[in-house]
Amino acid sequence: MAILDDVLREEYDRSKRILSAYKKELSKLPKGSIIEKNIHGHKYPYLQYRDGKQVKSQYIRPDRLEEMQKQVARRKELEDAIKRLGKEKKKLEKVLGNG
Amino acid sequence: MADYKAFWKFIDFLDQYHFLEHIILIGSWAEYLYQETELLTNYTPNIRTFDIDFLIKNKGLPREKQNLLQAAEKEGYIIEQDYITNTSKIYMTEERFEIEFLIAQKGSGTIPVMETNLGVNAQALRHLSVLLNNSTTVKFIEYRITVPLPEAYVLHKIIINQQRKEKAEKDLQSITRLLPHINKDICKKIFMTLTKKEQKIIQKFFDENHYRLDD
Repeated sequence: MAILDDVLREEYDRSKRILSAYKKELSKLPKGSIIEKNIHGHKYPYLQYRDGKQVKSQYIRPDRLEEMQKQVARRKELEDAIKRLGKEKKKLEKVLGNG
Repeated sequence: MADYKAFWKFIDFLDQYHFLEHIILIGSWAEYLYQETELLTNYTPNIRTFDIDFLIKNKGLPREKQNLLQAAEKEGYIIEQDYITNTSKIYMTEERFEIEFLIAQKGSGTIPVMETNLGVNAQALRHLSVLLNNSTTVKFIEYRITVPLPEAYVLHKIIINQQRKEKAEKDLQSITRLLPHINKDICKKIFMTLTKKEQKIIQKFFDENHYRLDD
């Protein structure tokens, strides 16, 4: 039982480190989603995000669009990973009696 | 249980960038390969955790400096410099693996972390020479991966067992699982190359556990 305890504690400590790394990475990425606005018959890409209670949008230059799309997708990937890992961490906390 | 797909994805990344030839896979994932490549037959490995550990063969190789961390980041991995130890770590988003790099502390050296030509800061630990000097390259699918000889792996675990604190019991389980499967002649040869201190530790362990290399 002691071995299992050690393994679980190791996993718990690792989860904390990984969550911290994920959150640090997330902080470098832009919030929001990419939308298209139709202005005078032309479509323009905007990054739409929440700033407190307000919804804001920021125009994305064509040369920056691909990079922004990658960053937004990456943010989503990290948010999903944080959610999954957060659940795992809570389970481990329960088992270890850390919760 | 850790995901094999994510492990092989990382191996593939290392292979694509020609990093694999400069590192040795150690730890519980080496045991997994002992089973998969039949380096040990009828062997069931210990629990595989979400740790993947690599031992860097030589801090000065490749001759032309590379940047493994930059390449990993480009491929979507998350890189970190541990804020306490300054060692490099790699994480992935699809699985909660933590990838770390070690290097053999040689002679009377005391530097805890070494910069390497692979562009990673590796944790320098004693007694890793036994793994470094006794390794073999196995072929699995299309990959050629260097792992410690099982005999060297076991001897190393015995040597460091006393220092391992909370991991000691888990390591002991690994040792007792492996011992019936190792080649005693190879084990003897490796034993004779170790330092007197290392030999003493191993002999004490064998005596306490009634294990003889001569049988």
